[in-house]
Amino acid sequence: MTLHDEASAIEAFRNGDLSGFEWLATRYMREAVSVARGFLAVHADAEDVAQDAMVRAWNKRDRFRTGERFGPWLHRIVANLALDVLKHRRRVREEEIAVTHPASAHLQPEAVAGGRQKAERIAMALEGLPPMQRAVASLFLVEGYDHAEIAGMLSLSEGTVRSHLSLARKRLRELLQEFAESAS
Amino acid sequence: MKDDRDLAQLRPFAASLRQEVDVARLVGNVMGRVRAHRTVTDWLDRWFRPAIVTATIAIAIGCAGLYRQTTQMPDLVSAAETRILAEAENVLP
Repeated sequence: MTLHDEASAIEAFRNGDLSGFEWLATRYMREAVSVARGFLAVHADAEDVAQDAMVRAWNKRDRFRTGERFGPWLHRIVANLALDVLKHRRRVREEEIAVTHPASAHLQPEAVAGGRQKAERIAMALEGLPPMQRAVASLFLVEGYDHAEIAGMLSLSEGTVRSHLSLARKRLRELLQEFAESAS
Repeated sequence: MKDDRDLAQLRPFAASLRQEVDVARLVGNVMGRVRAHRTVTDWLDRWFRPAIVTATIAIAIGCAGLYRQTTQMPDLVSAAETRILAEAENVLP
């Protein structure tokens, strides 16, 4: 079966055709990792959650309603799995922060020295946010998605996304002041 | 909104936290898991479940047969007793 677009891939997926699922997995894997990365500190964990979510999506394809969009449905699965991981790991979060900071291990090589420090500060500040604020702020700051995209990914209204960003901004206030001072 | 403009200033620095995603590798892993699970469920559907159903029916038939035999035993015993007593009457003077 040759799949040309998402609609035919979804139809094939609902009928249990693996080629349809593979098309959708290829299309949405990057976004799934981004959503998971919003909740989880370690990139490898985000990849694991994204993969688990894809497998769960396949196993629960009979619950995928006609006319529903695959992306938001998948992102809800990713978010729920990521939150489950966080619940189980709450007691070792301090260890996760210690492992990921200094954050140079997951910075891109092209980050310059001053930028590297700032990126590390941002990563640490994000770590201090509650899960949903962290997810929204991370998707906005790190992954570069806009409000509408984030709202669709996390099944939130745009107003809720703005509220979460506003709350995150309050917690990131010190960082923002420092960066503003250094820029002037 | 002012809030978002302020936050957006952090984006150039935060972008360096973004990591590359090897989509082909991850999708390959997922497809491998899904195909392996499908192989197992196909095997279960084709062989294991029918075997279980067949075994269950055979056990049920066997139990029904045993039940019939045990409920008929008193009748068989009393019939045997009657026959023995009758033969004893013929033999004894």
